[in-house]
Amino acid sequence: MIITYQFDGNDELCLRFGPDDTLRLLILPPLFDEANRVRHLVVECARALAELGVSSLLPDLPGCNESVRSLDTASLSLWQAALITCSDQLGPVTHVASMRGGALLDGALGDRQRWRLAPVKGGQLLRTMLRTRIASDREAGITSTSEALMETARAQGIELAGNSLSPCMIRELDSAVPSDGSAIRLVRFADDPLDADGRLKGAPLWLRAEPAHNPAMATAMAQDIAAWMRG
Amino acid sequence: MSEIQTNGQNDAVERVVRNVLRDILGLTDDQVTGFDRDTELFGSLPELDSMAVAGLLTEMEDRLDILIEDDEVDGELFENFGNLVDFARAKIAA
Repeated sequence: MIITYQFDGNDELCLRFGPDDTLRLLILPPLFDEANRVRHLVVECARALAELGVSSLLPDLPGCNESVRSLDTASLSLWQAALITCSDQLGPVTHVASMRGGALLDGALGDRQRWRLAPVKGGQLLRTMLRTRIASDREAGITSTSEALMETARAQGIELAGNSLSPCMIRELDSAVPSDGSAIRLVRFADDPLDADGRLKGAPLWLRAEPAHNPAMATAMAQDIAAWMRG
Repeated sequence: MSEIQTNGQNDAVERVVRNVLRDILGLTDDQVTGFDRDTELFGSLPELDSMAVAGLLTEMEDRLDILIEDDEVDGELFENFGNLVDFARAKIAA
């Protein structure tokens, strides 16, 4: 069901899945381009969770998806404020599940129970977007460097890979790391060498040059999240 | 076709580069296992556009714990699989 929450004078859309009277999970997808590549996966995961009896919220962040707000007015701290508002209006939210850059926002509601798939630092997202910009500059015959672009970005904002990012967003992204917490389940893919509390079969679809869907992975994510929520 | 020279540490590097290409391009393990030094990348894989290359470099940095400078990235690097693996090995050795 499509519902809305009001934030900063605008209606922001939010998808709600599942029964109305159970624990409610807030789902935070990856950020920027990565979010577009896994939209299908995330929605199918939420549907699978509903079938397992878990209700969830999948809100638009201000400036993203169907939001009427422009992205250049957004920042990580603004998104966190929006998530608090969303939770107040549409919650209560008891658990938060994030993927990739979504983990940079999952501390917004305090030290809740949190599930994370392959969390990423803000600096890595920024670096990839800077590289895309450098490549497109090069195709246009302009030689640019990360340092020079970042200097401009910090002072006046910048467009990177189709995203208009404010100086505030740039500063926050550059230093953002997933926050610590007492109740975090960290999940990674089976062939990821980094430490994890759980392993998932699947592939990092957010990296795909051509967006793809993986129904088995959506189901596996939902099963892992549902089992974790039931403790 | 030439064989990739491998030994302990380098096997791991090569595998990481294969896996990054698999994940970015949506290939199967069998397909990337078939890559050899001469497998063309940039010229023959249309999915490998500038955004995909940007993601690929950041993933290589992340998974190999290396730092790739802007001026180290040129067309030659993505000419074939061998060049990319050699580059990754050189970065780790540096």
